[in-house]
Amino acid sequence: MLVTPILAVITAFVLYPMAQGVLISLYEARDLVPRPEEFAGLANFSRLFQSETTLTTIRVTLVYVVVTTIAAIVIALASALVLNASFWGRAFVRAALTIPWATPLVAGALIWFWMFDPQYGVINFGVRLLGLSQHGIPWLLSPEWALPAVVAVDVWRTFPFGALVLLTALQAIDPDLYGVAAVDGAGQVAIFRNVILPSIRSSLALLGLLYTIWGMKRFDTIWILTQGGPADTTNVLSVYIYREAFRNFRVGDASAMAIVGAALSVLVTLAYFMMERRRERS
Amino acid sequence: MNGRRRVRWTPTLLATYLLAAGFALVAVFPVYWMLVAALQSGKDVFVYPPRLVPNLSEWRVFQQLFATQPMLLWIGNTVLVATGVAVLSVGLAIPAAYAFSRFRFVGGTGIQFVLLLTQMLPSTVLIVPLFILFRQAHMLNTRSAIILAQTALVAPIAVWIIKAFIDSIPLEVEEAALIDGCSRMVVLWRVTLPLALPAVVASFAMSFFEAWNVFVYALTFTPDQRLWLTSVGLASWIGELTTPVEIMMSGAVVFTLPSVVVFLALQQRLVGGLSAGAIK
Repeated sequence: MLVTPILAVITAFVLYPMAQGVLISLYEARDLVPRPEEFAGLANFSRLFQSETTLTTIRVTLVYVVVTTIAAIVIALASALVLNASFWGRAFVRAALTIPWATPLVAGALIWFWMFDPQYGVINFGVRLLGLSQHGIPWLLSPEWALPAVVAVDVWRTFPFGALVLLTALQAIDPDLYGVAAVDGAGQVAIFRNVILPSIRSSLALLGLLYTIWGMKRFDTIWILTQGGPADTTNVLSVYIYREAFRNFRVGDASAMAIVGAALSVLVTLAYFMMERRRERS
Repeated sequence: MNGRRRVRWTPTLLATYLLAAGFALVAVFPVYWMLVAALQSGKDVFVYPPRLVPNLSEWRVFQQLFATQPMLLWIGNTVLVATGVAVLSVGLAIPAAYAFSRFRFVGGTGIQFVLLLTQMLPSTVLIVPLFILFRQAHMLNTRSAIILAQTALVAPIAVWIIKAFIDSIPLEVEEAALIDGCSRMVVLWRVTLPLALPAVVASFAMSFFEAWNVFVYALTFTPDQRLWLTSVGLASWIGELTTPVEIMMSGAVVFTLPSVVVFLALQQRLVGGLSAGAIK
């Protein structure tokens, strides 16, 4: 059948490992491959919810995902609304917005690593120039600023995609609707609420889902910029799992956390589809 | 048209320009800064205040990059892996996309949900079991391991891009060929595929650059330095503190350029395919 080959590849390299992961999470698995005498039942999970580090990880992940999602959507919407007006040079701005999205993650991380450099970085140059701080801020090395810094990098990379998606939705709005609203004497706010928002609602919901999933997945940038530090302030789920498995060799713990992460992602997606279904019905 | 038209500078237009310029600047500045940091001499890196424009006479940095770093090896590995992923993904996606677009079959919805599931799982969730799998199969330190694992994550997106396009091809085109006695496979190969070529090209490019980006799989499955991808090679500079900044940045430029050029050419179709796939 036509779908068999793709299904075989996905089964071998996504579904089977996933099932294997559930199995490993029930074992101590000190040596990567679980041995029968290492069976631990749900001990890995109960340890997960008692340990300070994992609770921090879950909190940091939630903050990271929620803040990046909201910030990216707000900035995407603002730039899409601006780009929806017709002006000379619009194509140029559109092209500019493609660039962060097209920059490979690791290259982007390298650039920001240099821009965030406490002494020679251009960001601290700006900070000093504006007189915000005499000595500059040790961005990635500071427990207060490391998380905002990696959030900024993520938002920089992801907002343009949202802007382009929302722009497509805005341009699909029937121009007559604006005319009708204008005749009715609607102001800018009323037009936004009654004409624009209903037309882009499904795109906004979709972006909410995509940004949430991408946020849960993000590993490369944070691994390169902070490795989860300083003092675990940027230790999101993906980084935690990688560190536990391949640095601390606590494979059982890592797998238990992986299951929690996978479950969260699936829950968010199901919630999205249920909300969409309910809206379609009403 | 060369005639000058007077632009009326209304406050709204002015605000539009200011905001548009602001967004464009935020988007482009880091990449611009990468060029500035690449094109400077080692001494200029640490001057204060920093140089704000690239010094084009320092283009020899790129010569140094290739002379002092195994950049060619990394790029070669990356091109190999990315090509493998793209060929496999598109090859797997074409028949699946055709099936989802043209037939309703038992389990179809279930399979589509499985495709969506692959997009929801963080790669790090799969990485331990995959590591064990590849170790048992004696595939650690092979580029095939990265290609196979990555294809499973990229092929579903290729399916959506191609399916969205096939959906828009009228059925009548195929029916005419079917009446002429062609089999379904011949129709797919001779009639539908040539029409869907733009989507096939776009999904090939998308798969290629998704794999161009692959990091955590490469980091984990190929510890052997001779098999490193560009992403792993560039990232290794951060920890060691011996590679000069201008070399690091010139490496980032070389790594970024192909991706940016292709994305600029294809942006419209990529946005459409990704969002259409996720909605349906």
